[in-house]
Amino acid sequence: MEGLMHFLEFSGFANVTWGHLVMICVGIVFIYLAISKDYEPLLLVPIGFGILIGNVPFMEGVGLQLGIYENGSVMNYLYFGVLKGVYPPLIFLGIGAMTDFSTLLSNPKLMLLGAAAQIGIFITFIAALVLGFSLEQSAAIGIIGGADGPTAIFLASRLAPELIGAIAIAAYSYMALVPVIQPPIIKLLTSKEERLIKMKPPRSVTKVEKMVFPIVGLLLTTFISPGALPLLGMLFFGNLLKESGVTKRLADTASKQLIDIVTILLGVTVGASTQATTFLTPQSILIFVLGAVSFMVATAGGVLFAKFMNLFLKGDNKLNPMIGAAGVSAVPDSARVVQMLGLAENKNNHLLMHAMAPNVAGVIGSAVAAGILLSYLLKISWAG
Amino acid sequence: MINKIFEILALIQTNEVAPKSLNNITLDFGNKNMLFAEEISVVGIIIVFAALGILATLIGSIAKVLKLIQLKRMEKKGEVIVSKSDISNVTDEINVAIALALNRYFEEIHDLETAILTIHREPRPYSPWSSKIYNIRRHL
Repeated sequence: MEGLMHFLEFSGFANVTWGHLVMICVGIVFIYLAISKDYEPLLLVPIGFGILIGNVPFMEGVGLQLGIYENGSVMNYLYFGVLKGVYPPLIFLGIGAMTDFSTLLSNPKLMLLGAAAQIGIFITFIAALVLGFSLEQSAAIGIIGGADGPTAIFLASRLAPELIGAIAIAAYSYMALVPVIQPPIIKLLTSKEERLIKMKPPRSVTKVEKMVFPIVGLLLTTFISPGALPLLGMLFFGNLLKESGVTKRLADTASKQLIDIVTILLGVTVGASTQATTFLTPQSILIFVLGAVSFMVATAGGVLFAKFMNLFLKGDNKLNPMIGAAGVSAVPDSARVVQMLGLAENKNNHLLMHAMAPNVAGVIGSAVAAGILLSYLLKISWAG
Repeated sequence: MINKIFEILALIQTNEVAPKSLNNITLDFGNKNMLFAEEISVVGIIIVFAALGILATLIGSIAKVLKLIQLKRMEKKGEVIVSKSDISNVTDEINVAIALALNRYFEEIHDLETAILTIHREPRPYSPWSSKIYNIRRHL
């Protein structure tokens, strides 16, 4: 009988808390949203299931080595890739190998929309500081506005590892909720006439241009912001693999098997990092609120800057300001949202290709912003 | 400038930790690090714009240079250069006719394929891993 009692002490039922149950419910909601509503299933299913794995209660501190935060546990080893920022550059390699920069190359001025949307990062950075977070934590929270999960994880791993779970979950949640968050902001900031603007079709881009872009892009952006090297280095490398035409096998692996493996590991471990005992804090709630603000400001920044650019553009060069919203780098969801809104106004107005340009520029822009924050704050910490 | 850096370093060393409870949260607009954060934000957004702006200009210029080189090559070879104004008055009917002709041409290419068929025999060295005997059910 004593043995049975001893066994029960170790069971999940004896160690469960309200926090665990709440987080298990959150995990189930994520899985439901992914399967039933088709919201970013490739991300939300691994993260949702990871939340379940991370919140199965057990007796901590008795050497079971089960929890993600316990040294030596299997989950802890897998989490190493998140903590040390190994997974994000690998994801960027896959993104680079999948991305076609043609639309951006055909109309390079659209890159500025990808820059404008990064305003959300810096405004949230200040807002987090006002709410009492430290400089490093504020920077890591601000990057959620970049709407780029790997970049958010990369920066958080360097500046505020203690917040990585909350930041990653917030970043991926808002990426999944792009179709819910962005349309009201876009409609609020644009008139019907503006939403009806038809843009001229993009010009065709030569193969040489496509091959030169990753090399010039890498050298220029990383010379300006070396902190972004792990991300941008892999992004442009992946793109060169794709565009060179001579490394098809490598490009295929990077854009399929490799990115799938890393997405599984990243999703499950980030989900599991939400262990109720360390995750369920008021700080996490604040991070979620700030993340939402960041995302909304970023969307508004892109749309408003597109309207500003229209002041200087004439005739068929005018931009449909909705594509500014795609400057947040949630690829390709925000571009898809713009396409849907465009079609809702005019069945013949296809904006997807135009929106993809600021969308991929946003990936570069958010990585550059992360590099700047990293250079500033790590330099100061190192000097201190 | 150096003094300013030391001031910033001193501020960071006395950095406040994040709030432990939602009840403790107060809006601190006079945060000691605010000046530094504002500086980072302003410089940061300028650098992001500069990086992407320069990249856009550079890519645009490269495209123009490549186009010029291509035009010169075509001129040397004596190829006909079609300007935008030449094709701007092409009607939809002409476009459809061109598309149809191209489509037919590419479909017909298939018929011009060489008719030589060969059988390439793959060598199959024996391996217990691929042995047929292990892959069939034997009913005794």
